[in-house]
Amino acid sequence: MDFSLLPEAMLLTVEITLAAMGIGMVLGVLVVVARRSRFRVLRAVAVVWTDVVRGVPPLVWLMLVFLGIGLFTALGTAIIVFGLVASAYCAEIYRSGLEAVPRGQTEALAALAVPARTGQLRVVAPQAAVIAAPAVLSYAIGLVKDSSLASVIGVAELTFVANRAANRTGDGITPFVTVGVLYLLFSLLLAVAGKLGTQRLEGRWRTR
Amino acid sequence: MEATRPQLAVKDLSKSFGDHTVLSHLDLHLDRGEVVALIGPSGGGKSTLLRCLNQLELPTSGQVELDGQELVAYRGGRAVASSPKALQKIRRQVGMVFQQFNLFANMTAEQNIVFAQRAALGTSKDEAHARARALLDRVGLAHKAGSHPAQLSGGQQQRVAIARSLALDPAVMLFDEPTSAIDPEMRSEVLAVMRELAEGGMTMLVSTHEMGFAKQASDRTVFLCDGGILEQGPSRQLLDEPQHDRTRQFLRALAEA
Amino acid sequence: MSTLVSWLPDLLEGLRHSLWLTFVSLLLGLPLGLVLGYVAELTPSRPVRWLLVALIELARGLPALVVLYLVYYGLPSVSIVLSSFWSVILAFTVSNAGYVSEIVRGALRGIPAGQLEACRALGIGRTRTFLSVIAPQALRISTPSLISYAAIVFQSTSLAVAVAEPELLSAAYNIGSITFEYVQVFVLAGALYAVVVVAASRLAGWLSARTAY
Repeated sequence: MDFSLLPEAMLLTVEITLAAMGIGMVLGVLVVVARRSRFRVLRAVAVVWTDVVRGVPPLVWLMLVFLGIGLFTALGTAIIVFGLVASAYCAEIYRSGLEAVPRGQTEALAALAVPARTGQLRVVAPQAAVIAAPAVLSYAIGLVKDSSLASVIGVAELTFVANRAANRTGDGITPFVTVGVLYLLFSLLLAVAGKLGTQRLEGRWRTR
Repeated sequence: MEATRPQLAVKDLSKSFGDHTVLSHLDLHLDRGEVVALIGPSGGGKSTLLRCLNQLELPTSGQVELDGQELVAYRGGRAVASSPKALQKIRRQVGMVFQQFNLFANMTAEQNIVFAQRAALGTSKDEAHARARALLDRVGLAHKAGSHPAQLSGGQQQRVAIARSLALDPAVMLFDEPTSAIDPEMRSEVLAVMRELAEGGMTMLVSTHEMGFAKQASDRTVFLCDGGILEQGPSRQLLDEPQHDRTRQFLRALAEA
Repeated sequence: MSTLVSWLPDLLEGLRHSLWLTFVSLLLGLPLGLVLGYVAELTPSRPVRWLLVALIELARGLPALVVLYLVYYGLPSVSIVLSSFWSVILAFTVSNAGYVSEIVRGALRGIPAGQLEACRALGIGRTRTFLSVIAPQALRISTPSLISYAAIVFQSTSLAVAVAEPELLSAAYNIGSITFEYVQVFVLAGALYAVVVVAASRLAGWLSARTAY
């Protein structure tokens, strides 16, 4: 196969993964805030959003947005779709993180007359973030793999390049093994970087 | 005269969770500067009583008065949550120390105390830090100001929690089994802080299994059992010569344990 | 509206095939994952455990689509030619065995060590211990995650479109490429997927709430 195509393909894989993860992590905060809102309508919207976004396979979303709506480039479609899907998953991860913060923390906030929003922002959210970090990280690593689906709508990322090489050369093994190794490397890198990031986030609070 | 009115009055207070009645028509008065020990079997309603006083729980019926002010609002015969503003006011005046300390895990000892003051009272940064350090010094933990809760022993965490509660300058302090989650050899350091507080004139209601503390540091002991006060009196008298069999049984079992 | 209805038979046929793919994948993947997970968690031999964990992680680290292409386009190079159906099944089994074994390992770890020790202290044999004590508890713990897992497998059957296996997404794609009414047909197909997945996840949620101690 033509290895000179790999760097650019790798970059696209990285770009889809990181951009979508960024969108998902930020949008996920909005979704979880809606999910925990006082207003029933907002809560319902958030539930429907997470159900629908997660219930439909990402590949169906990709085709719907790319072929059906047709407003974006293939790359743009991939980033938007994976970003939206990630927002729903991140919201669920954040939610279980928030629920895992010990009840004593909220009781102490109440007993100390700390206004609800201040308490959520300064005590509950930071602890939930640390609890949620490993799950967010493993979602991001899953996203590395999901990004391969973008090849189906023609984004020239790793899987696309491998597939084309296999079709041209008739060698169905080398291209896929090669990109397989690259996917593993990227996942590994992300895992290490994420682990370091998590440790920083956690600081000294949970020594012991 | 002002002093004749109790600082904290619990009037005909009842609390049920569904069909389960935890407190039933309970009356209790605390004078200013009085230290009252609340003893009794687990599940007898001690914790629920304390939590009704700062409205972590809403009573089913009855009233709580602080300096003659009614704290529990009723609408259509049901207790309703006070407005956030009113709740804040209540909780600034009624401090609480928890069995599990509940220090904010993401903050150092000093940050815990600074944060509470700034969030609840709007204290300036400098003032909050100065007061935090003074309070940490008072509970003997000035050298642990920069430690996170996970780096402190149970006894140390509880002392920080007491300091944090004191930082809001409450009129009354509630203690919910403050030493039950602490290793026996670390309990005395917490009890010492509480004793000092009692001697300093703080009005305190302390649910506890520490009969030594009750006897030496509290003015009055209340035996709470099956949702009501079975007997109460000057601590020494009640603990040495209980009038009821149930109280005697409880004290004997505790002494044997 | 009437066109939507006219598509339904094809889409439902696709859905049926997706469910069939899911079923066969689970039938092969569950026992494999179970054995892998059980051995990886409870084997006394360290090298065996590490090897298994490494294999599991490797299979899990690769995108399922890459595994599918490798099976479909790669295996013929070594004279193994599988139909698209069996390529899909093999690819999913390989890339999902890791998930199942992870669930199984998690469930086994969720059983207090005291249970095993109690069996040993009572002189209960290994097989009996596994069948009567370990397996029922592990199953109870892991049922919700296994249902969620089945939903994930069902969703991932949509990947089979890449090798032209006639499942739900392929059916939708074919209708779209003739009528060019992509939005309508993909929305309809998406709804069919979502109904199955949401129902499964609600069931899993309900079960896990019910079995919580």
